[in-house]
Amino acid sequence: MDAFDYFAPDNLSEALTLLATPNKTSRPLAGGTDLIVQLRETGLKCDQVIDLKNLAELTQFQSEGGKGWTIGAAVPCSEIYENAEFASQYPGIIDAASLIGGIQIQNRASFGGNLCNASPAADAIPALIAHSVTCQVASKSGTREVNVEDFCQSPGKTVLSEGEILVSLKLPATPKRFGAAYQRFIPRNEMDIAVAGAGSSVVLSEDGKTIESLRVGLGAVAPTPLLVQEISDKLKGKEVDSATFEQAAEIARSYANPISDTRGEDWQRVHLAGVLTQRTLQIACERAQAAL
Amino acid sequence: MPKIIIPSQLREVTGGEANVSAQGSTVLELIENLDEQYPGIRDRLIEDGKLRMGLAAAVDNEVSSYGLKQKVSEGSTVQFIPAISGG
Amino acid sequence: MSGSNNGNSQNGNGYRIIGSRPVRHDGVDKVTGRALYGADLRLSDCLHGKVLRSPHAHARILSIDTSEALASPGVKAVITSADYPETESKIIDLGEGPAILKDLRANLLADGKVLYKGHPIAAVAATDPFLAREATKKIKVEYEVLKPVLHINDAMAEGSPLLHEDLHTDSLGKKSDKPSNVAKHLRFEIGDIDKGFAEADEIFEREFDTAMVHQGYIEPHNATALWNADGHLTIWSSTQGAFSVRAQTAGILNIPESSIKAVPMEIGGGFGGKIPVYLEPIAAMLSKETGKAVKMTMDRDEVFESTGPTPGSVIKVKIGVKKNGKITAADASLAYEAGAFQGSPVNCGMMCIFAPYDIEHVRVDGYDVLVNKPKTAAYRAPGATNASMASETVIDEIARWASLDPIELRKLNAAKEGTVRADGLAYPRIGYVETLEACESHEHYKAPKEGSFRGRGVASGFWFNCGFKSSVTVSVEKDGTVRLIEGSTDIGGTRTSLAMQLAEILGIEAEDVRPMVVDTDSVGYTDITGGSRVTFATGLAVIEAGKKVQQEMARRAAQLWEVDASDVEVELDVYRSKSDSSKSITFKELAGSLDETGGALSEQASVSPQGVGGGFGTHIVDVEVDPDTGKVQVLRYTAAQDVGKAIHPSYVEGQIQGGAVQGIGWAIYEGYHYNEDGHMTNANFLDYRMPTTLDLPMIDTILVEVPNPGHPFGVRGVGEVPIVPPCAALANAIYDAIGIRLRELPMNSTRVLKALLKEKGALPQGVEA
Repeated sequence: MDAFDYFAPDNLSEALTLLATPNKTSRPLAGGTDLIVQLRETGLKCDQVIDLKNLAELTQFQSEGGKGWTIGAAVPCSEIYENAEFASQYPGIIDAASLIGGIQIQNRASFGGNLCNASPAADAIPALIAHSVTCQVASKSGTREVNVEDFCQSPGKTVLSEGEILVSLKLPATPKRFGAAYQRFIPRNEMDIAVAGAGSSVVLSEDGKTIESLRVGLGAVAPTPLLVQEISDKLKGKEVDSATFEQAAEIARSYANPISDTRGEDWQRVHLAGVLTQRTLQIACERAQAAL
Repeated sequence: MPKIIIPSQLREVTGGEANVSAQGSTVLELIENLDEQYPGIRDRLIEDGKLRMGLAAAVDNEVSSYGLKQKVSEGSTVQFIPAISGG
Repeated sequence: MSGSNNGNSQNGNGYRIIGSRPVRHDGVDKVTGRALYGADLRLSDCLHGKVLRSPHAHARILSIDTSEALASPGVKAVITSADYPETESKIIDLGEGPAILKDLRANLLADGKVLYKGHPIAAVAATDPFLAREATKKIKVEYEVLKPVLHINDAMAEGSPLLHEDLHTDSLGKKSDKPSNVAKHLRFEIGDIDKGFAEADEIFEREFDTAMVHQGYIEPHNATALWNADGHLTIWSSTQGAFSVRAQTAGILNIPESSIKAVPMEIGGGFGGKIPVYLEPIAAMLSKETGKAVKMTMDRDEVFESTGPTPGSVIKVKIGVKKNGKITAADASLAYEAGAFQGSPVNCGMMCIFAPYDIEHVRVDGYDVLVNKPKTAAYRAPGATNASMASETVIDEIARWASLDPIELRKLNAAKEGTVRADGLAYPRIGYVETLEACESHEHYKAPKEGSFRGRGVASGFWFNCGFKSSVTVSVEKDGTVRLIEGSTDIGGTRTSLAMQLAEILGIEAEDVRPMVVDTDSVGYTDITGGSRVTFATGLAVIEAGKKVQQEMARRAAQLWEVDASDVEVELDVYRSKSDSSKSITFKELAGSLDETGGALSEQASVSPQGVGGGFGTHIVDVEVDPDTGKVQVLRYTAAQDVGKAIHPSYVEGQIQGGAVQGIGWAIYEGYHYNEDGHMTNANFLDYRMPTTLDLPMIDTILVEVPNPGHPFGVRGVGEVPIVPPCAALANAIYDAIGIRLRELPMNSTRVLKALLKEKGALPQGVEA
């Protein structure tokens, strides 16, 4: 690990100015559960580390009064899953927040960091896709919004350009008869990285028997987490039954385009994308039905 | 006379014989005397004056830590087995 | 004088202390984090060493240029294998066995060729560890990259690239004409194998392939060395044997053993992997070069890539059996990965593979095979787990074929006292059948199996245990407490199990014994902590020294009373005059009178015992398989083991649980994963998956006590046996759950899923079955 300068600005504009320092490479720091390891162990180098945890915009976590919620990019997982009101509305997000790392990691690791690290296997992202989340991005020249499924571009690379940071996530309000779930497959029961992951959400009809709309996000089966739009398009209006879940699984498998590596083989990931799509859709439906 | 059980891979020297006898009061003497009956067997068992690396002598089913100097008696049975170590 | 062993029992077993569960002597230091490990050592003005490791699995080194590294900030020395002192010796004696010096040296610092990724090439000493690491990157090495040999079958194939051009296969003293990657071929033969198979009604022939695995100790290797101006070298390190550190370092550096003091620090796990030295001689050379202390610690990837693994293997098993389940013949061929240098534990695998059974006609072949992977080291019952995976799953198949309960089949064929093993040795009293009976009558074995995709498996295993040499010193304090000085690194609770044996002998409390593991200058020669030998062998030294203390205490009492020593009798801690019943004194009181009866009392004992008691274990496991993902969940686990006599039952249970857990990891999670260049792709604890507490049920234990006649308390080694049965037990349970036999380790979710899809005919196109 080389020496670097460390800054902990207390307002967003100062942070953005520091990030744009000419001729210096800067890395923003939230929980640090990826960055510090990369600096110490994997040879990542930078001139300055900008700690964003003193910024109100990045640590906010609040209800927007019927218009959904905002989660600051640096809010740790444990703060998210410990909020009972939030948890009752965003079950898919809670699934993901509860299984990233161990408890110590959950006290530091943030969804913003999970997005910016842009791992294909990130646990938060398929759940965020299922929940139709939008990313709020800021730079010295202004702000912009990006749909979460468009945020990652390739392993380790996001849509953020030089001088831009992810400020917060905007979560739309969940409609009535809504359910969501996230699951990943790992060979052990904890302390592992997803071999494949899937996040699903559904809105059911009043009688709970038909799927009015649905979204499925997949992780670890392509260079970036994926929204499987074809599932949303083809299966809306279908009955809540195993045939529908199997159809969704088949479509999911057809979009999976994974690699083989030490954590899993390509065919295995394709297969698991189907299994997890099926399972998370079923749980999402059960959760929506339970709320009827 | 002490008995010696010839390891499978040395039975080519003893003409296929597995159970042989030889005179001697130590493992070394036994091997020396055996070499007169079956020339060449000494060099298969002994290297640089010691039992070949990785080899141990067992007398009456007890592995000896004395190697070639292990005493043997008239009714003893001597075997050669791989030396073991644990984790 | 009468002994103290026949005192009043507080445990209902004839003993006062043996079999009780006192608080461990090292407990407070461990739970408060104050125990001193190698990495905690802070010597003043200490330099830090770092090793440059090979990026290639197989390459010739054309040149090494260290000049730029030497000129880097903070750098005080750079060494390579060219800096080794010259030596004439070929073999060095490590006490518990000899080693090839050339291999030891070349493994620590490559000589001409690098033979695995991570193979050390050079080492740097600098003022801080980061500067040392940066400097290693400035060492320029030119390579001629060669094709790596990564699998046993490739290594043994005609025309394979050779790791060592001068290596010829040794067949018990006969060398092959052509050089080969097979360092050794061994064969055992008893009875007439052809006759045995001719008698069989059915013959089962199966092949197995297991992956290389690591011991996975939590504490990485570390060493600090200080080579003093007077020529004395002190080494502090994490090791299973300080005297072995001394012998290896002395041999490698060609200096007298007596010039080295090896200080064993507290150890964070070893399991066999901390018997070889990796850093000690390098730190010593750097210290000699710089005149300062040099500290070295490994990172986890260094531990995985260049220390200790246990071999992957290819094993063929052929067993002939009668319709009634009686085995008539057994034949096996075991090929084990030695790694980059010869010396796999294939011999032990050969001796263990059919060890639980009484079979008249047996043949076993073994091959020690070199591959471009780290040199393997011992790992808990080295070689036995691979072997048991093969034989014990075939035994399970035979039981099903013969329509016999797997425990019944085992009882029918079980080894007993007098049974001759494949290597030709006959067993003394053993307790194998007793472990089978204990399992058979256990509630777990009778519990109904409920639910689909659930299964139960059973397997047995054997390990020899070792004797070797041990020394202890016992001295009596004036307050009646006793110091027990020993040289056996404590990796499994042996400070306490030794202190308890001494307390039993002296009639005092375990808490009144203060056991300590000391450096090589402070105790007589003691071999490694390995082969499950310490409670047995060092225990015998403790008993001998304890008896000497008791005898001397009796003499002191006699002196006090001015009677003849033969007039003094001892019961527990009370010394009495036979002729005058008014004269009696306790151990504690007598200790206070040492000064007036001749001064300090200290006794020493050194032993090299025979009578080692081998051990058998039988394990039962229930699993559930997720049919959609292939994930195996262990639901319930019970391990029965003949432990001889459990000195401290909690520690014995802990050993059995620990061994079973490592075996479970080996069975369904762990394995070195290599890419085609021979680079390990999972050299970290995230991707080298060891089971966590969340993956395991409580491991229930059954302590079967068939005393070892070779030890006064009946002690058998217990640490290694429990890692032998788990892989086969799990394979048998998985078969019971899904009806598919897995013959490759690890049986991870990828493999299980593949097997399930193949069975359904649903394996995607292009996927190799």
